[in-house]
Amino acid sequence: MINLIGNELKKIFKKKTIYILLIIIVGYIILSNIMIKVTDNGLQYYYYDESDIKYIESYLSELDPNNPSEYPDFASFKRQLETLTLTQKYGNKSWQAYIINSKLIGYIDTMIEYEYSNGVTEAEYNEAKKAYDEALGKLDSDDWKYFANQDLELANASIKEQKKLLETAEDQDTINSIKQTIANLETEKRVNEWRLEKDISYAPSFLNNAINQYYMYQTSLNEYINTDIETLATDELSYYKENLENASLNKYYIENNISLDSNSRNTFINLFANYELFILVVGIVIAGSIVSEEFNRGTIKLLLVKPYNRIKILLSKFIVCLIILVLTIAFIYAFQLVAGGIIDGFDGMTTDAIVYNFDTNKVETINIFVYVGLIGLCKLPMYILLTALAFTCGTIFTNTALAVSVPFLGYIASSLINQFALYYNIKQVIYFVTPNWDLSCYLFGGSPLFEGLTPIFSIAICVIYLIVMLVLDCIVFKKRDIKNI
Amino acid sequence: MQNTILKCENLHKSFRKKEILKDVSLEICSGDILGFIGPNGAGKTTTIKLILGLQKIGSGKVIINGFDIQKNFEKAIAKVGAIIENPDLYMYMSGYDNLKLISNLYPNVDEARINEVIKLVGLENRINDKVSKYSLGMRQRLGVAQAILHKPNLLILDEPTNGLDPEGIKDLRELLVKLAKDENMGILISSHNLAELESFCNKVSIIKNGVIVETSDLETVKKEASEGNYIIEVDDARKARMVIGDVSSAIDNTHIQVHSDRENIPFIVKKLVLQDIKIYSIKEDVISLEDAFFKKTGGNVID
Repeated sequence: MINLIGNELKKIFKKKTIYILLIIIVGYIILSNIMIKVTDNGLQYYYYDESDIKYIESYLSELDPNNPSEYPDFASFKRQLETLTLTQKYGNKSWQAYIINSKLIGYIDTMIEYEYSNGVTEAEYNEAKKAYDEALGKLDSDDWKYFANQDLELANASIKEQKKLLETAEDQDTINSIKQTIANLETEKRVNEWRLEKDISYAPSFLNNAINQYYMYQTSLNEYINTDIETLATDELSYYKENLENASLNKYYIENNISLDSNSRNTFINLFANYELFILVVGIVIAGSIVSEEFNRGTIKLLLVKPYNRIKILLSKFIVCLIILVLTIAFIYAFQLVAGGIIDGFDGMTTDAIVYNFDTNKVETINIFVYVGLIGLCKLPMYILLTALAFTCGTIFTNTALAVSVPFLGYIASSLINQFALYYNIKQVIYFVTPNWDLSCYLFGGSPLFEGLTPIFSIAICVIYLIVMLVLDCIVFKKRDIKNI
Repeated sequence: MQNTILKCENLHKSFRKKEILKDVSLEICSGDILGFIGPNGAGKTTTIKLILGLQKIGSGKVIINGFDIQKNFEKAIAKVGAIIENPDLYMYMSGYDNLKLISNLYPNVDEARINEVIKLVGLENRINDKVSKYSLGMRQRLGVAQAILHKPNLLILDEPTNGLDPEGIKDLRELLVKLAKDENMGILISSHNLAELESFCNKVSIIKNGVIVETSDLETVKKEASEGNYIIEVDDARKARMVIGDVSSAIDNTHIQVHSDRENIPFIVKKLVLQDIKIYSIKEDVISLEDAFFKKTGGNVID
């Protein structure tokens, strides 16, 4: 049987197919690493075009601020022009750009309003102008902490106010509502304390992004402050868990001052999400053709008159498919590591993967290479089952095109099947492969898509499907009459 | 010493209620070259596929080297080499790689043996080219090479002369005779090209519509088919027929065919001479295998 396996491997490596696929994979990996590098970290910043300003200016000149029907448009364009001009002054990747487009909008609106309405006194106007000029001065003097302090003070003041309200509040709904408001204010306060403490400005950076993300997820979490988590329905629980995970992870980055901004590291850590299709292409193309091609070319007769029974011949072919699958995964793993490293540097690889464990409710670190390997191991059942499906179709129908396309359609449809079953609450779907073949949902205390699924159950289902397919293959292959080809 | 290598007993094969083979029996001993002849659709390739275990046997038995092909496939097939229909090889590999691949599946086939076989079939110069660049004749040679690589004692060749030029056919014929003689191989060779088989087979089986109509030594077939046929050249065929009677038939104005025992011929001659009919020549009508074949099968109706 070793001889058979060796021969099958030789046949595959003598064919062009595998090399063409490998070249495409290599090209794709290199290109995507370069693309991520040149498209600048994926961090958000304010994008605008020079022509935008000109367009707005020309539009503004046609509007009359004294005409009440045109004033709203005029004010809106005037504000846009003001922010754009200021953003342009400091550059769209500066911390100032963020402040201009968030906090300063209020000042600008007031200024426009005061300038063009009649009922404003000189004193009022001057006061607004003074506040605006002060803020502009802080932009000029690069003092972003001014704004953080301002927010912090505001949050502190609001918290005091709300706490007073809480003492006098009587009915439960009001109390709950106040509690949630306080929680949000506390979040706001913490975020600004972090900024000042860790020296994280508003300029686009990983940690700035982490702060914004933390604020977003933590605010969502605050909605559950008055709810007993145990009583949540499955879909709401998963939403809660998603928020909890992301809030905790971002908090961890901020507190430990970790910037995960290496592109090659991010690509590597999401290896299977990024390159899954390529793994499947190789696995399915090889498995779908390994039997059917011999039939189509007539070489099956050559093979079947050798002193090996048909079961051995078939199983060695399947084993070869598995070997190719594992080799492909190993190749992509290693190649992304090297190509990503060469294109974007190897620095990021020294930082462990950071995950949230729902069992211990703690953030944990795990060696990045082990982590990616673990994900691959968990996804292996899916890859093996799709490979086996291609192999089965190839053996039963002896039609390569069919054998290659059916597993891909199955792969595409798999998440749809799960969603459909979730939507219509079809419990029987847990006996199908699609909710079971990706074990990565169980990692780090994660919960499966459907209630009642356990890792052991999922593995058992996958093994049963695999065995059924292989037994079917063996029966069909063993009984088949070799017709004239 | 002759011992039976292949024995097929009463093979039946049906395909969707249609009987393709009925009661087919064959036997090949070491050193035999059995010509397996029959028209298209008679069941030659099906019989070969049953022998090689490529199709399920309806009823009957195939015994190769003492092992039943259905019960003990691996042992039965171990010393069999075969080309079925076309020499289907891996086109994207070189001839040498193809042979190397086959050699891996048998114990005791080393590099030296591969080179020996390459020389034997005369492919030394092109063996490292891809098979897709080979002519059909060269693929046939490579097919023979892969079939004899592991020194089988039974060689089964389905239409091996397809695509071979006269030189190639001559080479193949010599090679087969040599293998049968030197290595004491039993060879089953099917073909429509009857003239090719005639010159080197020592046995023939004729199959027609799934039934073996004749199995015997080549010489016997020919003799039986031609037994007692004589052609006499005379000056007046019509007159001669009247003299001889029913056993004769006129071929043309000057030739008659006489069906008769050898011992009877002098009396017929005497009769003709007495009637003053001039005899120019008398010859025994020895027919070719092809004629014998048509005589036996009477043509084949594919139904």
